[in-house]
Amino acid sequence: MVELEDKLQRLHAANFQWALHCTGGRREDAEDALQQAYEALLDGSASFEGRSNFKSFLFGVIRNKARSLRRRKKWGRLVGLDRIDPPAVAPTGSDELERGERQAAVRQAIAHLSPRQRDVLELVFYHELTVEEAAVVMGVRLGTARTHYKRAKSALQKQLMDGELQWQETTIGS
Amino acid sequence: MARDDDRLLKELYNQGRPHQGEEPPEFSSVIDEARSASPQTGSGRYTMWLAAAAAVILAVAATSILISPDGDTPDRSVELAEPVEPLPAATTVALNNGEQWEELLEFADQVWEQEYPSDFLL
Repeated sequence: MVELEDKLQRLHAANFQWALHCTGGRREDAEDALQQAYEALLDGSASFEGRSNFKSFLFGVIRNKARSLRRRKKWGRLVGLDRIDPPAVAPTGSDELERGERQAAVRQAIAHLSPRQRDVLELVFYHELTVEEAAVVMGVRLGTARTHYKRAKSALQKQLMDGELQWQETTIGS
Repeated sequence: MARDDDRLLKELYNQGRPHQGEEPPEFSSVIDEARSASPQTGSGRYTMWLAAAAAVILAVAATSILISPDGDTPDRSVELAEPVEPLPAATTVALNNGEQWEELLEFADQVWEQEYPSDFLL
């Protein structure tokens, strides 16, 4: 039990980031999903049997809890949990402004991806899982995860390039 | 896609990904709440067995209600106007596959979200 809690604590920050991703950035839902996932591990209703690595297994549990929460909420009220939040407060200063614009462009591009594509990029790019591990978390076959990953990268690149072109046209036109 | 492109894309993604800088809640508070909400290890499984046993008892009770007092099962067969074609084998295979179910649910979710605006109230 102590060993399990140690493992959870080591991954706690990453777990929370993944829960936030799975709940479309809703902090309250992310906290609920995280707590329910920990609860399932403590009471044994979700038990790690070593078929994958612990992090992939845990992310899978968090994802399932977030999805159950989301489905349950839909019956009460329809909410856009997959919606990506708009960029945070506009930064000041030219460097910060540029960084802010770039972040906004990336966020805009990410918002155009499908939920599966966003999941695989979040897992591989941010959480540094392999595509194989991401497949375990997402509950899909390796081939499916590879396809989502490949399409996600192409779509993100295309979105960013299109955005850049639009930005240039607007700047030159004005 | 070249490796350099991948690296650049990864860098851009990590700079622009949403929910950056969100601090996690205190681990101790989350784990304490999880501990108090869940039964101790082992008893969770016991609860599951108890729930399964209750489900079996309910199923038996429901069956006994459906059987008439003289012991005969009432005839509930339905005569169809036309014979029904069996599902193609591929459909059965697809529905037996957990992943396909998952895909189906995912698709249903997406259709649902596209059909109704997020502020739509049931």
